Amino acid sequence: MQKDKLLICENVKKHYPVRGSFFFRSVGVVRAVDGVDFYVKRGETFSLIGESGCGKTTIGLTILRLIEPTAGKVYFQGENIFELGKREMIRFRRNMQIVFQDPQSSLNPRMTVKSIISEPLVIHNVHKGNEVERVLEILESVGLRAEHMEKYPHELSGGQKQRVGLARALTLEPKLIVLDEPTSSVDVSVQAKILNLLKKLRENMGLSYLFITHDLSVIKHVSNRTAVMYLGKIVESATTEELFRTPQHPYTQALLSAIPNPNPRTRHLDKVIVIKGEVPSPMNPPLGCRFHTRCPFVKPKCKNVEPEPIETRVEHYVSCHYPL
Amino acid sequence: MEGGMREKIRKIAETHRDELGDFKRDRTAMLGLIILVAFVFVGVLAPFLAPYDPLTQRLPAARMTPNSEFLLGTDELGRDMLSRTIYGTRTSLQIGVMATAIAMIFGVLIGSISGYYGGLLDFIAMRVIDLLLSVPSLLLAILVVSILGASTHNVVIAVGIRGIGPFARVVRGSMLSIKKEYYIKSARALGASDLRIIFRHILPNSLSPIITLATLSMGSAILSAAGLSFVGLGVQPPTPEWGLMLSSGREFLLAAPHMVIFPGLAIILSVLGFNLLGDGLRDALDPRLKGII
Amino acid sequence: MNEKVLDIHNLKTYFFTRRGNVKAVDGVSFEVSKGDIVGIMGETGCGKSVTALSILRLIPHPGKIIGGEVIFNGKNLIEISDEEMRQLRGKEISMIFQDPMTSLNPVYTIGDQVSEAIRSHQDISRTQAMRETLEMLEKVSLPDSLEVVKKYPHELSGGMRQRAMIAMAIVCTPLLLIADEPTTSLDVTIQAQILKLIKKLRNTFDTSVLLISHDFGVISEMCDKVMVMYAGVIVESADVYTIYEKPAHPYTRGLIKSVLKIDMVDDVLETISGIVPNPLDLPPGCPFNPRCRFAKEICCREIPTMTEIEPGHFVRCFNGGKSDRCKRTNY
Repeated sequence: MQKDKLLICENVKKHYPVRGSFFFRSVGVVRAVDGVDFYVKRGETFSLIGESGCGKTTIGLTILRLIEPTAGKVYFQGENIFELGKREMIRFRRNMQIVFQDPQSSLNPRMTVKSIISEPLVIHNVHKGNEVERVLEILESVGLRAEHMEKYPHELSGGQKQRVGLARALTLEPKLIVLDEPTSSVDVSVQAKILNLLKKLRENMGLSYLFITHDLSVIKHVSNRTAVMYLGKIVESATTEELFRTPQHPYTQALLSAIPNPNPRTRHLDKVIVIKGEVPSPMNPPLGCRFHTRCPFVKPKCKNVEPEPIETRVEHYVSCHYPL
Repeated sequence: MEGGMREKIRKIAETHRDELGDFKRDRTAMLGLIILVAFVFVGVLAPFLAPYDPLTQRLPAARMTPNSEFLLGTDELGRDMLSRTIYGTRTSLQIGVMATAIAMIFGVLIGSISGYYGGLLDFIAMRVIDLLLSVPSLLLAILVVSILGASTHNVVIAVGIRGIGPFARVVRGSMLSIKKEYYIKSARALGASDLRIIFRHILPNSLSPIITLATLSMGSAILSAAGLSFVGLGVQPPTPEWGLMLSSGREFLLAAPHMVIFPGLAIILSVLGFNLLGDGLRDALDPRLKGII
Repeated sequence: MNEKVLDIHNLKTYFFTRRGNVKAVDGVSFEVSKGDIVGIMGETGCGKSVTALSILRLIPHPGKIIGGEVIFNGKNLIEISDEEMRQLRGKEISMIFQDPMTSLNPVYTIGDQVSEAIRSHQDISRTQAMRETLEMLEKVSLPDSLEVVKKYPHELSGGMRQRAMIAMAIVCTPLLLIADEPTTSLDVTIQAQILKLIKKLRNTFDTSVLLISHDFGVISEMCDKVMVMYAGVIVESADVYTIYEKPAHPYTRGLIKSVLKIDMVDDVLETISGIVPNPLDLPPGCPFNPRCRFAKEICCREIPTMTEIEPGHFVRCFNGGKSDRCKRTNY
């Protein structure tokens, strides 16, 4: 049912022109995101997973229009965000927020925690008069306390900074939060706390998450549905459980096999599916299936025809001519 | 920890702390600050400190060497050198502060817009600044003066205009590097307007280079103003100004060197003060030197 | 019983900063046997990288090694001359770092850099050095070695740069390779390739490896023995199976429980309360006591010493491993 789809992305593209040495002359195009379709349902966590350069961060920023898209549509609660004017967009921002991966640079070093969290209230003119109450409320919900209000970012630990970033995103009661590698820059013990917190908040506040990461073990714990990205496109998407149990795209398989296993008894380094070569440049994606240059199962058709996503199992889509 | 180990660590800690060079740095900055505070003191309290009126001429007492009546001697028109030098402090400081203020306001404005918005605007603005910086300050001053006439007021304008370039460049640089920070992206995601981002987020984090530049600029503004006054394009007589005093004292360099020495020293000391303080500030505010290691 | 390649006793490295003394490494002792891959596991600020740099005497100002012995191949590295140390580095002990981009000189080609590494320890001609360079690049599975030698670091991908750095490090077949977070900045598929490479090198040359990581998955895949560090000291040391199945120190237990297991889904992950202490303001007694569920009165007063609770399994804890241990069987 379309109604429960909070966010729908249709064929979103983001291309960056590459300028030559003589200014303003374009010599090529970086196809960071090259036609991505997915949706996020109300109350669920949807993950985008992929390695560096696959376009997952770009897509996160593009959905929020922090980067202007090249093409495509993004529907939020039925409204096409890409068509909103500047003013409407500012008002709209209350619905979707983002938390970034680097707690170090996510917070303005010259603002106190209180100013950081109350800024959205000031910008949108809400809770006028009782900003402090609202700030306290949010601080509590992310596990911080009133004493943290007057602190500056450099006085906080990595985990605390990340919580402040999260608090800031929650201030306006958004419906969707884009989480861009929220635990990549923190220690393992802090990561566990942040993930627990995210889960709790989602349940209490009825949030939906778009979770962007490269870490497969994280999504196993947080994500309902997952899509795997490679070189600007989604190659496979399914429920997380299904994806881990029966990966059908060779890239997904290789990715899963490469995750180091913390249990030394089940070490599998020697059984890793090695995909040869390096990721091709997004300026020159290979013809046909983008993965064909590195695929262990490549066949002639793969080199010429770009595969379209096919539904191989229920709600399980793969872009491959010969799904496993 | 055993006592012996404790002692060993303390000894090592001592040697390391000296080597840090902190102390040295702090000394020069302190010196600069002391010099400047002294000058400000003199400038502000000029009417109380100057023994005579700086404008009173006493032709019979012209070009007197320092004596008990006139501690620094008199100039070619018999005016008390000490009083003129003291009042000159006021003139110079005023010029320095106002010219730097002009440079800073316009420079920050241009640099902000240029750096934040980029594109064609940035390109054009930077080329204009390049042009500005390639014109020798003297020529620029001549231009301003020929259009507006020579006066204290116009010296401030000329020197101020010249100073815009470095501020614009510094602020533009800050804009470009801070723009990439995630807290800027977050501010935009929250719906902050460009103005808010520039003034609430980027500029406050660019303060260190701006403050350092402002301090150093004041020193060079005073120097420039003195130079312009020296060639007659700046402050006009009879206003006491060190450059002017140097100019009129020039003819009598051999006969009455005191007319040149004292204003000259004043210029050197004041500029030195600003430079030492500016250097010290730059080091102190350098974020890389902050923190533990 | 394998011979010991590295034997460290009570190493202490402190940083004398404006704000106080940071006891980055405060009495670390361990050994590495020939052909072993030993892991140092810990979170940010625990002192693992400083330990590695101390071995190679590459501690930057204002740090200083103030005590202990680092016995390598019979010599105490703390006491030998600068020149002797310089000769050891890159030849008998090598190190690879997390970020190959900053470890490789951007203005020299890969070929030049690897050749230089060779020629600084062996008196051979340029041509001969280049021949060995090409061989080495093949050994680290860099395809098209003839092309790669002509390239500059920025022209290679992260994985290739890391391989180039490994090539430079092993070119003189060192006895000990120190790898400080060698795959942290790499994608998971590339990480697998690099880890496999390091293992292959160990198998081929019998090189001992000291692997430093905060990622328990990496440690688990690679290491025979593991040491867990916290606030500048080793809190637990054992073989990798014991660490995973019978962790005795409360910190190790907390860490193991926080590690996300790909084959399990926990509804709520277990966490360690509190945060890592400020190195300038360590609590009295055991550095972990403010966060420890089992802290007793003595824990807040005295620092526990390492005790062997079973053969090969050492813990620095007054509860000596008896705080309700979680025994894992199989997953």
